[in-house]
Amino acid sequence: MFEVTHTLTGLSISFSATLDNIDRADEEAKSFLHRTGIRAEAFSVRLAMREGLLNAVEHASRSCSDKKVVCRLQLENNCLIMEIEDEGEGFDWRASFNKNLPLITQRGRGLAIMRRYCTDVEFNETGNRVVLRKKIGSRKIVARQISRTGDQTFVRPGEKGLVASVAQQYRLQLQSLVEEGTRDLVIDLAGVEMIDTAGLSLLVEASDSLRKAGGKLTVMNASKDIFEFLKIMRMDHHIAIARDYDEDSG
Amino acid sequence: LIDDTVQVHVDEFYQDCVQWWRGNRFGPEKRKLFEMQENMMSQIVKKGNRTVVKPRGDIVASTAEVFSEKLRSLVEEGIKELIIDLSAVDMVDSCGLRALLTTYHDLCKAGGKLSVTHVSKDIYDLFKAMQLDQHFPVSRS
Repeated sequence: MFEVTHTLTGLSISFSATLDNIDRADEEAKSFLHRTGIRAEAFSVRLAMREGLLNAVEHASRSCSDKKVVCRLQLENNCLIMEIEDEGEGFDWRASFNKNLPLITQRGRGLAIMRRYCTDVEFNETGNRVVLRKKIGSRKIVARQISRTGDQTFVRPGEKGLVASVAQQYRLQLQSLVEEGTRDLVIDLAGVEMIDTAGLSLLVEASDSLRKAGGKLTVMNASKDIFEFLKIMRMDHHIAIARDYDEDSG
Repeated sequence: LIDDTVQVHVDEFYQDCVQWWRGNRFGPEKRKLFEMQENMMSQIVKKGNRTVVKPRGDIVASTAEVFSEKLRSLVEEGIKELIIDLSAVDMVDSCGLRALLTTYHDLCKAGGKLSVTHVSKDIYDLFKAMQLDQHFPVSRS
């Protein structure tokens, strides 16, 4: 069993306690970190999460095989909170907390790694639940807003527009949205005053990769200038484009 | 282009794993695990006394045991100078660290030496933090 839910600033995974599922959870975390623009701390977060999950899987699967592990990531202000809980009986984390690094062939580096790579590590009394906190520095998100309504995902680029200087970053972001399973993507150009050829090729690429995945791209709220430009560039052959003005008044 | 003295054992690692679990050393769950290890196949190049092992995937909980066991069999074969090339690895967890340390330990007992090369910045920092570099040389290149 492996279930995953992505939200705007969070990730929730619930899975049977096996080692392979840790790899799958790590893949989900990778995509979450990418999507939320966490770059510098990505390795630390993934490593600490892996150690927390490994701990949980080992302790949960000790008694029987069909136990579950639940892992939640939530981004709050400048802090990523990772909450990992298993259905096992826990362990004596206090004893491990005070130990030095283990001898060469011994086990027990997981806790040391979690403490080293997180701002804060907090176990519950029995040791079957741990909360890891990691301070996050700057995040690199370009789109001012990504939101979801039903099956539709809206991306609002904001004033800077779809121009060469930001196109590559948008490309990564749109790619990750498609990889995450977005099929109905809407680019809301409200407030966007400029789009250049880099922006155009970005739209074509996004539309192609969505179509390959069985999805579609829509552009809405294009200003008069941008709408006309998109038409001249024959973008309406690739993408459904909606204007933000009435034809008569325009 | 390839030197005659170089033996390239591509895919040998996976074949060995298959052989190994067929030997009934593990139950069905572990066997399934090994079947999923294809990503972990390592390239093994032997040249003179030196053996270079290049894992093709992460050395983490799900893969470390197989990796560790393969390295142990290399040590048992009598290799003396083992170089582990991590250029294709972008994650090593506590199980991976332990696999490397155990290999180091086995090699030492057999009178050999270990070095780890082409380590990414993040993993290099991890090795330093966990003091692996105090046991064997670790290099970025």
